[in-house]
Amino acid sequence: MKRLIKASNYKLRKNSSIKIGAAATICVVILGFLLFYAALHILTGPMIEAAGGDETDLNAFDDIHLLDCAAIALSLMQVLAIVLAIVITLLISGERKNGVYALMAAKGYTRSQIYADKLYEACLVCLVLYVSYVAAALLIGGILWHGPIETDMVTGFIKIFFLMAFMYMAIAAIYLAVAMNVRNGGAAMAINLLLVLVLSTAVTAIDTGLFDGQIILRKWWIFSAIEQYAYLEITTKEIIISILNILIYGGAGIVAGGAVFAGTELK
Amino acid sequence: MAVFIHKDRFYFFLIPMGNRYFVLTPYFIRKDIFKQSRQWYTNKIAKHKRQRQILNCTVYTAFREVKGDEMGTVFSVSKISKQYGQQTVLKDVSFSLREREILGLTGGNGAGKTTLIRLITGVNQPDSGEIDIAGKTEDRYRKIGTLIERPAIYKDMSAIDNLRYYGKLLGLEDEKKKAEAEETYKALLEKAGLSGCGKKKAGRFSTGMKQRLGIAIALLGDVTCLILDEPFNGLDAAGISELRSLLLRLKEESVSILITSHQISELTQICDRYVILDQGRIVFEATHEELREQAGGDEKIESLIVKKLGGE
Repeated sequence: MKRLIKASNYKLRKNSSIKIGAAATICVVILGFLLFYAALHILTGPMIEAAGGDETDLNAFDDIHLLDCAAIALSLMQVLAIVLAIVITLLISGERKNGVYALMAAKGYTRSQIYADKLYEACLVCLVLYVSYVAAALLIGGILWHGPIETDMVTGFIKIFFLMAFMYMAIAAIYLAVAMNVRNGGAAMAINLLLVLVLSTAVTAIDTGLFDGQIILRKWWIFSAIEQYAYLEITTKEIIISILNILIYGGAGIVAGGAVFAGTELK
Repeated sequence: MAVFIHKDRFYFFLIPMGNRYFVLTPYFIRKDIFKQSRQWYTNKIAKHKRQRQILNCTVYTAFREVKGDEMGTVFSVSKISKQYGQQTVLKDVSFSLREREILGLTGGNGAGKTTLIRLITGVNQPDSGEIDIAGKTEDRYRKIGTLIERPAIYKDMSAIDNLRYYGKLLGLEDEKKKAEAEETYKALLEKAGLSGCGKKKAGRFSTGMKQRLGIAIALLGDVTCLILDEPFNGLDAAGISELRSLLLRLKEESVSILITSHQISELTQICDRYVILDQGRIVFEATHEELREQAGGDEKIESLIVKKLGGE
């Protein structure tokens, strides 16, 4: 495994899809913030009132605070899920098509080792994109925000940062399971992009049904992170549910994907 | 008596006596070097035999007796069968690849060539039968280089980066110092005729260059045997010619090659022996010389093989 990890690290450093994915993610964050900032400077109280809004005394950027910045950054987080799906599918399906797995098998690596290596790569890609996103959001948010940063905000951010990182890795495991086992690269891409949309809706619906909408959209971070970061505080219950989510989704992705891959003849 | 200068700069004497040859070598030659070079001797002897029209002979060397027509076996396939669902893809297939020969495996579409290659290389497992690779089992993966259908290259990486990646994957950089490994990569690029294109992205390569890079990747490690599946596919005339030259050069360097192809005309230009598959069974196996005799000349070998395949 050490050789595989060493080789994977080298390959990912050279991979242009990851670089383009990270650049696209950062651009989306910057663009999102700039649009938000511009909108706030264009909008006036009477305009909002005319559009049916209540905020008639909005005074440009003075009225927004750090949480709004975080909210707008994270309202774009769906983009990260999509970019992640695209990059992982391109990377994994491309290798299958080129016969990399067959070559690895011919060089003595078992299916489990190959799958574990690809899981490592998917998680690494996920972390690179996620950290790019958060770093850009923090940087731009920091430039725009002039108010005080309190301890609660920082601890809340750290908790959410790690939980989200693991959640995205769980999602990456599901994307990987699809990309490793669907023979046609185009079909794998379509399935993974559909997963982003379908499952986010389905999970939200289940969530609403099970929990009576009390904690709707706040704990189910999978696939759609819209509105998640509108709050930087997080309860213990939410942390536990998040960890359970990570284990269930990530575990299901790894076990199902790995079992199918191990049981299929390489073509 | 003939005197030959070996590529490793030592000489030997070849003495034909009746139907036997004696190979005299200096005492100080290390046995392992001699063993590695045995194939080279055998070829020289074969050439000498052809010139003198000697058919059967035995070669005696300073170290051990080597029969003139007997070459060591790189791997042998014994009665392997493979089924996918109800469909029998291979049935009781047996053949072997000898040292320093190019063996052509051909057959129609769906004959089972690629399946056979996948079984030999260990990508998939046969339902029954045995594949015996000479030497230690753990050496198998280092001794056999493969190119199955298409070169497994990363298009957004340069040629040398591709080699570096696979070098790391095979643990080449664990065993050698970085500088040594780099030398190996450069030597492989040179061998594949890509020395001027090491830093060029593989995605910008022509199909022929990609195939040659695929072969350079396959040669990483201590490869003594190459298994190539349809390497001529998609190549233009120049690409085919370059690849053919590369394969012949590798053979000269004691690499044994198993090659599958539909392009019989290409196989007949480089192969020493042929195995013809039809519907998962070997229907014909012969050396180039035997085919030439049967066909009545080199130029008729192709049409003979086509006939064996059921064509006109």
